[in-house]
This record gives sequence, structure tokens and C-alpha cells, in this order.
Amino acid sequence: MKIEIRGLNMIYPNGNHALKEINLEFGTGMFGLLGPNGAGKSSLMRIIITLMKPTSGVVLVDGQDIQENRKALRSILGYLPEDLRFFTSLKTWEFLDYSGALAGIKNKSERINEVNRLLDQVGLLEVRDRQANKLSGGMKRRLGIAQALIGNPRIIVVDEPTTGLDPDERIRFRNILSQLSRNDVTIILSTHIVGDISSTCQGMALLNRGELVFAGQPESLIKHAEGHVFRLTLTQSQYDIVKEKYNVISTIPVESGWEVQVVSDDPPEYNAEEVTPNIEHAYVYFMEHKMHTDTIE
Amino acid sequence: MAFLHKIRTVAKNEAKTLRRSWFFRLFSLGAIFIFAFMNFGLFSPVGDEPWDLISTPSSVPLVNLYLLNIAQSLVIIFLAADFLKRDKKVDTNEVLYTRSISNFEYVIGKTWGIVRLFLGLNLIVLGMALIMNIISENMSVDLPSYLWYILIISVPTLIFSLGLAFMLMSLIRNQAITFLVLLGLAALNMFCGWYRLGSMFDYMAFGLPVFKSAVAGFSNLSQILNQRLLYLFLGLSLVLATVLLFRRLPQSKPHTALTWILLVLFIAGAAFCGVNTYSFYRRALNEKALVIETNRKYESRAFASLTGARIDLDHRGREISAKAILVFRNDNGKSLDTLLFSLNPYLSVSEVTYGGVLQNFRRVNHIIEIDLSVPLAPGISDSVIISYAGSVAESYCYPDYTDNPEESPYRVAMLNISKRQAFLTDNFVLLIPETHWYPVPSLNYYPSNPARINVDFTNFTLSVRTQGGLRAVAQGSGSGEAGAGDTSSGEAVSGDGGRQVFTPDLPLTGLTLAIGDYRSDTLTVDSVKYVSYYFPGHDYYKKDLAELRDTLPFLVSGIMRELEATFSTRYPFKTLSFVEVPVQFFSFPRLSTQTRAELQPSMVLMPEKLMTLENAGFGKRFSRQKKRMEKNSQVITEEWRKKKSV
Repeated sequence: MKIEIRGLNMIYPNGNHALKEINLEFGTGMFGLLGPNGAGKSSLMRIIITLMKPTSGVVLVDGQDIQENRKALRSILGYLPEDLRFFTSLKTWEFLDYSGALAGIKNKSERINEVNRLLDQVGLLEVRDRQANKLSGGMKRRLGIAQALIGNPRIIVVDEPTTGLDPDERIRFRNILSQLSRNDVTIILSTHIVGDISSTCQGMALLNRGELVFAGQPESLIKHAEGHVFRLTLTQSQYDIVKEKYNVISTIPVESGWEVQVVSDDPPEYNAEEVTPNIEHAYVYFMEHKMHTDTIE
Repeated sequence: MAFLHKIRTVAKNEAKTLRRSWFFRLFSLGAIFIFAFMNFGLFSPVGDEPWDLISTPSSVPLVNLYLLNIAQSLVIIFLAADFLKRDKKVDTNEVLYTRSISNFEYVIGKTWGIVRLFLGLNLIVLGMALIMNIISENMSVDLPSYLWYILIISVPTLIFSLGLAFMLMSLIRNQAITFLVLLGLAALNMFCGWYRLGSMFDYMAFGLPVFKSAVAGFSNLSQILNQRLLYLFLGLSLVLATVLLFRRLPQSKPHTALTWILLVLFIAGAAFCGVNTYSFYRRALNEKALVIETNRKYESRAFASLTGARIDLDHRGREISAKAILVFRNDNGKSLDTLLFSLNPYLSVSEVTYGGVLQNFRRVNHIIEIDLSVPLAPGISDSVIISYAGSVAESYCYPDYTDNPEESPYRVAMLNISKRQAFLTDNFVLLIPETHWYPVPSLNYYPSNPARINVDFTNFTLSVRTQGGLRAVAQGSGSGEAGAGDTSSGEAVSGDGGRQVFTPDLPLTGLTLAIGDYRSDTLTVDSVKYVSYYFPGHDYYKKDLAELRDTLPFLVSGIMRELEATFSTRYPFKTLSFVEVPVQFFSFPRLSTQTRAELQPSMVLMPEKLMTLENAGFGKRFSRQKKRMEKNSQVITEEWRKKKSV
């Protein structure tokens, strides 16, 4: 399934230009949308899931404009919003059953089987009769992904799926998404948690202030940061100077003072040791350093 | 069909969610408890069994739904607005909005979910009422009325309230203001809007007379249907407008087109029914105004006096056809150039014969003007034959009274009953003198002197041909003509194709005709025949008053003597008829005499099953008194029992 985004612009009635000439293309597998708050991720996702109409530009799914074929798109779509709350008094299985019926599974026994299968898949079978709004945060998120999966959608959009989850739940959730991405579906993952992307996505796009600043594989983004991440061991007075001069991305107190990691185009003083960057380093380098430098240039 | 599957799916889950909300649970449990208690207290064999409520079987579902509807029309405002507020929790609903479901399917599903939940509650309450209705020994069951009332009371109110709440929430998107507007509207309906413009604004049927008689059914069915369809169509229009205003990108062009088409149709339907509702109200006012205006023109003119009238009448469904031979005398001090008669304006005159030849005549609204070639000298009598046919305009009666339900409400217990002055249907006819169903040489109202009355004592002969084996009742003893049946009871009874002829004992000031599936009982005391005309199954009193049977003549004789002594005159007629009529029959008091049309010469019109008479539930009354006396250790004698019965 191929998704093409062409010349997408979104200007809200208050004049906020949320998306500026976005061009993007991706296929099956997991695709990450990364960017700080206000970057335009939500606007882009809301356009993709047909909750919003762009000011200009098109989103094509297998060559079909989704705004012209909303019914077709919605019938192959699964969506998990960031803050999914459940209707009071609906049990876990009932909510999923409702979603299944809306997803087009008309046969009741078939739907119940699917509900139980998905509850089992996300580890909620034991709490199927518990009221959905009384589940823990992680359970709710898993129920959310279960409802997004019911009806075998071809495109799944998940918005900030790991926000607020404890580490165990976060890992569990990432694993579920990874497994799904193997099933010939397109998963669009919007997040501002960089770790979600590195561990799961085959492709990614980086948005900032409505503009697409990077599109490609996470490894390509990391490559941009190679040779620009350094580790330093500093005294307190040195630390005070460094944090004014460089982008400090981590600070660990040690016996002699501080061990810090910084992002810089040139190796800093104080016996800087080059570090192999990860995607978090690359993201900071890209957002805080490279883009500023590009702007200055 | 995927279309219906999706609507059903949304409806089912919305209903489930709503059913589990504490507010609905509290309301429904409260309603079930209160109505169970009420039904048990009112309608069960050990309950109060007030006669005004149990005498007509349709009262049982009506009183239940009338009260429940008021409560639910208020509760639904809170539930609907709360429900829509929940929709504003964007993330939750976006999960649903990204599903392949059209806005039409979603909103209609949501509406149906709420409506079916409330209808379920209505059915539970009606079910409890029906159980009491069935186990009660003193009530019959009118099953169709259960369906009728849910359709005409609950459904339009629910749909309109919901549609309005949806629409306001879509436009205003503020729950507090929506509450305020909707509650204000409900308050306006109940306190000052229910009676205006013919109940035009009464969306909850708070004051709309929807009583169903066991004899005449809904005597104002057109008015009821138009008024209720107005709110049903308006409600559906508002729901459909909500579909179009729904803040979600539409996904189905056919469904959007269908929404527009239905919206236009329902708005047109609402406009049509609204215009009809207003027209019923306006037409009656206009007709009354026209009667007064016409009378103003003629009140100073001289009329002849009617001394004799032979009326041959045929009942033809919703119309009558008649020929009246009218004998009149000029009692004025001057000659009459023109004969003037009043005849109900809906009756068309086809032919006037005077002096053996067809005579030209003019019709000015209800006035018939016949120019005489030779003036009628004072003291001279003559006759004219007038043939006419048609229906009767009730607005013609009592033109000085506007039928404002606020000024003159007609309620029995809490039930609103429509006021009818005449009935002319396939199965039942009631024509009182006020309707001028035969030509009368006088006016029914004198605008410059409302207290003036002009009555002639007339020797009437009435010949009636009914249809479908119905029986005619009018004043006086009579006999059957060709094919006539039994006349032993003093009233004329005909066989198929025969005519019934009535000849009152004495000249009367007016003639009343009732036609229906009447049964009768006759008692002759002191040369006066007391005849009771009742509808099948309405002679419940015979069982309750069985102990009186042997002494009844003495009791009746005593009462009549007492009355004669009170009024210092002898009862002049040979018969006294008690004629059962639908409870909707209602007359206004005449200004000068304060008499009402329920009392006619030698005839009393009684409400069906004596519904409006407080003490007519004889059986319950006796058993209650007996219990009270037993409690007080009093002795119940046969004499006491008979006295109480009387």
C-alpha cells in the first residue's frame, strides 16, 4: 500500500500555517512522524485519517485521493488517538465489539471471536469484562490498539502511543506495533518520543514548524550526526562554560564533577571524546544544531 | 443491508451507554416505581378505581403516557445535551468518526438509540398499566389505544425534543445555553403556549385534547394527527439538519443527498401540518365571526314563527339529506315580504318549494331568504318545503363563545377532552337544536342583544332513515313506517330500509336527533315512559343497582313527584329519555337562561358511561361505604342500600 502526500498545505482559520508544502511518500511497514509539539504532526495525521480537509494538496492511497474516496479509506483504516477515553459503562469487550461492528463485521459470532483474539493478542483477555474506563493507562492504550486493529485495517495510524506509559508497557507496546508492521500493513506512528521511532520504524519524517525537514530511514538521520556527538568529563566551572556554548544532551554527575554529552559541529575542548550517535542524538543535532546552522548560513 | 446494520450498531451501543448512565437509571427506576404505585393505586381491584378514569378504557394508557411524557420530555433534554457534550471529547469520538460510517447513519443511529430506550420505558409503564387493566373487573381493555397513545403522545415529543437538543448543541455548542433554551421552551409549552392558536405550540401534547371515546373514538383525529405530525416532521427535520451540520467530513454523497431530500420532504410535511393545524383554529374563528356578522345584518329583520315541521331525514355517512315541510305563521304586526330561515352553513339547500312551485331563494351564509310574491299578512299561516343536504359546522353553534381551552377547559380528571357540539359520522350522529340542522325562522345569536332568545313552540314530526342498522333517537313517541320494527317501548324502531318516525307529545322549542348502535331499557311509571338509551356494554349500572329493580318504580315516582313539587308544575311529557352520548359532547350555557343543551325537552343527554359524574361508580361506592359502616359497627339495612342507590 503506497501513500503519497503531494504539496500539502494546511492553514487554519486563525491564520496558523500548520503544514507547508509537504511532499512525502512511503509504503507498507512502520513509518514514524517525529517532531516537537506544534510541528504539524497532528494536522498531517488528521488529514490522513480524513478528519480534516487540507487547504491545498492531496494525499493519495494507492493512487486514490482520500478526500474523494473517504468511504474507501475509512473502511481500511484503524486509528488510535493519543488520549482515548472510553464511554462510561462499556465493558472492554463491548467497546471492541462496537468497533468491530462499525468496522463491518456483521456476523456476531465472528465478531466475538475476533474480539477475543485481539484481546488475547494485546493481553487483555483476562479483563474482558472489566469496564473499559477502569483499566490502567497501559491497558487502555492496548485496548486502543486492539480497537484500531479490529476489522483488519490496511492502514493504522497511532498518535503518541507511548506517552505516559511506564517502561514495561512502553516496550510491550512497541513490540505489538513491530509485530503488526510485518503483516503487510502501513503503520503511521506520530510521536515526539524519539525512542519509539528508533526501535520500530523503517522509515520516518521529521517535521518542524509545519515543514518537512527530513524524510528517510532513521539510519540516514543518524548519519547526519556522526562526528558531531561528544562526551566530556568536566568540573563544575567547565560545565558552566560548556552548557552556555554547546547543546548539552545528557548530564551525569560523577566523582570529579560532570560527565556530559554535547552536540557540536566541531569537537569541543576539554578532551572531548567522539561518541557513536543514536537517533536521539541525531534528532537533537538536527533540530537544535543543524537547522539553526542552516538558517544562519 | 450495511446501511441498516450501521444504524442498528450505533443505536444499540448508544442505547446501552445511555441505559447504564446513572441519570437514566435513576429516572427510569423512579418512573417505574411511581407508575407501578399509581397504576396499582388507581386501577387495581384494591385501588381507588375513580370512575372518571376507569369508565373509559382508553383513559388507562392515556393517563400513564400523559404524565410520563411530561417527565420524559424534560429528562430527555438533560440526557441529549449530556450525550452530545460527551461527543465533544474529541479523541474518543474520532475513533468512531474514522470508521466507515456516514454522518447520516451515525446521527440517525444515535437518535434511534435514545428514542428506542425511552420507548422501552414507555412500553414498560404501559405494560404495568395493561396488567392492571386486564385484572380489573370494572374496566374493559382498549388495546388499540395503547398503540395510538404511544404514537401520538410519546413519539413526536421524543423526536422533537431530541432533534431540537441536537440542533441547538450543533449550533450553540454550549450545554448550559442549550439547557436554558430547551427548559424555557418546555416551561413556555406548559404554562402559556399549550392552548394558543389551536395548540399549535404544544409540542408535548400537554393541553392537546387526545381523549379517545369508547363510542366516537378520537372525535378530533384530523386535528390530533396534524398537530402531532407537525412535531414529528419538525423533529425529524431537526435531526436531519444535525446530520448536515455535523462536524465531520461526510463520506457518502448518496447519504448526503438522501438527507437533503428527506429534510426538504419533512420540512414540507411540517409546514403542511402546521398550516392545517392553524387552519382548523382559524377556520372555526372565521366561521364564528361570519355567523355573528351575518346575524348582525339580519337581527332587525322580521321572522315568521314556526308552528309545525315535518322533517324527512336520511343519514348518509358523514352527511345528511333532508326535506323539511315547515309550517309558519306571521306573528309580526306587519306583512312579511321575505321569509328568513337559519340553516347550518354546511348544509346546502337544493330546492325551495312554496305554494306548490319551486321558488327562487338566496343563501347568505346560514340565512335562507325567500322572496314572497304575495306578502304574508299578519296572523296568516303558510308552509314552505326546503330540501337540503350536507354536513354540519360545529363552529356555527355558540358563536359568542370562542373555544379557548384556557378560558373553558374541558378536563375529566387530568385528561383533556375536545369539545364537540355535533357528531355526524358513519356510526354515530348527534344533532342538537343549536346546530340548526333543520331550517329555523330565527337567529341563533343576536349580536346587539346577546340575552335575546327567540323560540317557537313547534309541532314536530321527524322521519329518519338510518344506515347500517343504526337506531335513531329523538323526542316523543313514535312509530315505524314501512318495515318498522318494535315500537313497544314508545320510541320508533325500524327494520332495514324502514324509516323511524317521531312525533313529540307537545310542541317543542327544538328537536334533538341521535343515531347510533343504541340499546334501550324502558320503565313506565305514572304513565311516563322512562327510556334509557345506551351503547352496548355500557349498562354496567344494572348489575350494581340490581337490588333496586323491584322498588325502582316507587323510587322514580317519588323523585318525579318531588321534582314536580319543587317546580310547581306537572311533568308535561309522556316520555323522559336518557340518551348516552360521547363524552366529547360539550355545550355552553345560554346567556339568558343559563340552560345547556344537555337538557332537552323530554330528553337528557348523558356522558358515556356517566364518566363525568363523580358518583357513577356505584359498585365501588357501595363497597367502600359498606366497609366504612362495618368498621363503625353500623347495621346495613336493605332500606339504606336502596336509599344510597337512588
